[in-house]
Amino acid sequence: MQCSSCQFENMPGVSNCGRCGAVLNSSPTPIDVYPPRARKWTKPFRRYFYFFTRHRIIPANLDRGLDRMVHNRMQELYDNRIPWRTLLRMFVPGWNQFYFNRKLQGRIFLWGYLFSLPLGILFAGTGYGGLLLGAALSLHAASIIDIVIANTRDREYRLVYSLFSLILVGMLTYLPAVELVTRYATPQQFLLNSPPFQRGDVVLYNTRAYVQTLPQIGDMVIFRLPNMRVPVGRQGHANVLVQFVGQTLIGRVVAGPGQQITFQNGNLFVDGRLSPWSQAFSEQYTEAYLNIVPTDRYFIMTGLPMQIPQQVWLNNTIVKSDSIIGKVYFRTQPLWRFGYIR
Amino acid sequence: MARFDKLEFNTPQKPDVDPEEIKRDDLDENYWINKATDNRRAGLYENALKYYSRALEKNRLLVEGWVGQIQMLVFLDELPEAELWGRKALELFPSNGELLSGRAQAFCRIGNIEQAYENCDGAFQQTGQSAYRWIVRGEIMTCTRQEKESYCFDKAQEADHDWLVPLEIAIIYLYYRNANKALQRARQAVQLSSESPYCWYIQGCCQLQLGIDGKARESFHHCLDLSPRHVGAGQKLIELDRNRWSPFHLFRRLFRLF
Repeated sequence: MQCSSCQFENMPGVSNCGRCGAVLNSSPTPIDVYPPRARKWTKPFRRYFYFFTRHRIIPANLDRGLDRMVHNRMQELYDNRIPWRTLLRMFVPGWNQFYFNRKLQGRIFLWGYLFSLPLGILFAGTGYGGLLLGAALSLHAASIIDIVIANTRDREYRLVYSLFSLILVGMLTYLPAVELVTRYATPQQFLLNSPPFQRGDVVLYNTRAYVQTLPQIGDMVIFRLPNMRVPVGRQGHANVLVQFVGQTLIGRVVAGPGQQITFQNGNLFVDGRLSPWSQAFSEQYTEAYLNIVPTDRYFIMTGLPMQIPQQVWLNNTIVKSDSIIGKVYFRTQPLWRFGYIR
Repeated sequence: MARFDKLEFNTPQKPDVDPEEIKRDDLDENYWINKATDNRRAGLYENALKYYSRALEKNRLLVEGWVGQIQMLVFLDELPEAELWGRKALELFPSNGELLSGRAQAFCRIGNIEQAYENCDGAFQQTGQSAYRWIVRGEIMTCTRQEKESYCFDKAQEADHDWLVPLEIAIIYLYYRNANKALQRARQAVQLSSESPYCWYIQGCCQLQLGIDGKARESFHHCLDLSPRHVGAGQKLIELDRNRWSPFHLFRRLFRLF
């Protein structure tokens, strides 16, 4: 009887082929000839969640005469290498996943990043902005770690390559970007109402605005005050002191060094002329007051009431030029008042 | 009375019988194998799988049927099923080279390269030569990005001069996103059989992946000329008409630079 697999002629009555072992006679038990089929949802599921595909490159050009230990080591290095082009593609989240035909992961990383990052920048300075920026960075890091795991086999190499890639991408992209952005656009959120700003407003300030120039009249600036203790009264023979913790305030430069400030009937006069911002502060500044701004200082109106002790008020409004951190120029929150600050 | 003789009361109706079913019992396995091959050459893998199964109904010891089923399951991207079926077939026909190659192909596409190599090496150790063993070997080398895969595919074409061999090699290259080499093989298939619509369709797919839209359109038109009801070619032409240049497509192509 001829075997249908290898065409070997067997003796009659033999159930299996003498050469290849194939079954010669149909067995009494029925053989199912219909193969199992994947369900309708299984194939797309496998295509999208193809996490366990591993392509291992067998080093074909290894010299067979090498020592076994060196051979194993080279094999290990070859199996765990990450090409420089893969490293280059790590700078864009999802690019490596697209390249290695893992499109679903690529789409998640890329579109998640493109969604989170601009929104995070828009809401920078708020809690939501922090969350969104954190999500964007996490997605980028996840895309890097995902491709490192897909390209390497051993745990040690995965750890080393992951750390190396994350540090590389962080140092070359995020660090310079953050350094650049924070110089020219640092967000600051208002925790209290401070006319013309309200609680919750987020503004951007430029720390490099006054490196080569001086603050101008009308500039909105952010400045920092030192801690101080102010006597507010006496109790017996001792002064009652109140501690004012140094804080960051935002205000408008109304008068420069050497200029004369006068309040009369709720109006502010600078060098005898009515200040354009007088109306903005007319409710707080009702007392008549005369002062000349010392050199190297600026008179900044912050919206603080004059009812606080005079020394405190003076210290908070007549500010040294080196206490000025930067120029406030843009408001990002709330969105209905998004725009430049004039 | 004569006029009431022809009335029917509760007569059992004969069930409707499918003419195909009547014919089916009279046909042997060779008929179904030929039909499966014709469908395979037309790219209709589901039908081919069905006809291979019918051939095996007639003769369960037909190795060609088992091999064809595994190949169709691989082409239909049902890889775990193909591997399982290959294992089952090897229980009936142990050490059959074609079945080992089929299982190796399934392992390769699943991603288990070690098992793929084992089965492929096992297939070469068996007696006989076939184009399919060389094709699978070449596929494993393509998957692992080795440089000598074209040698294996050339050996496959030497073993079998049929146009289906370069065409299936082109399909393998397309699966691994190597449209350049796929186009070379597809052109060989078209030269060997310019009357086969499926050859033109695969050539058009290769040209489409390479961005040669004009040539792709011509190839799909050739396919439709030969087979006016070819669904795949029609859909591709509609996509080509829709996908004009746009910043989105430029953005997508940027990802393919490296």
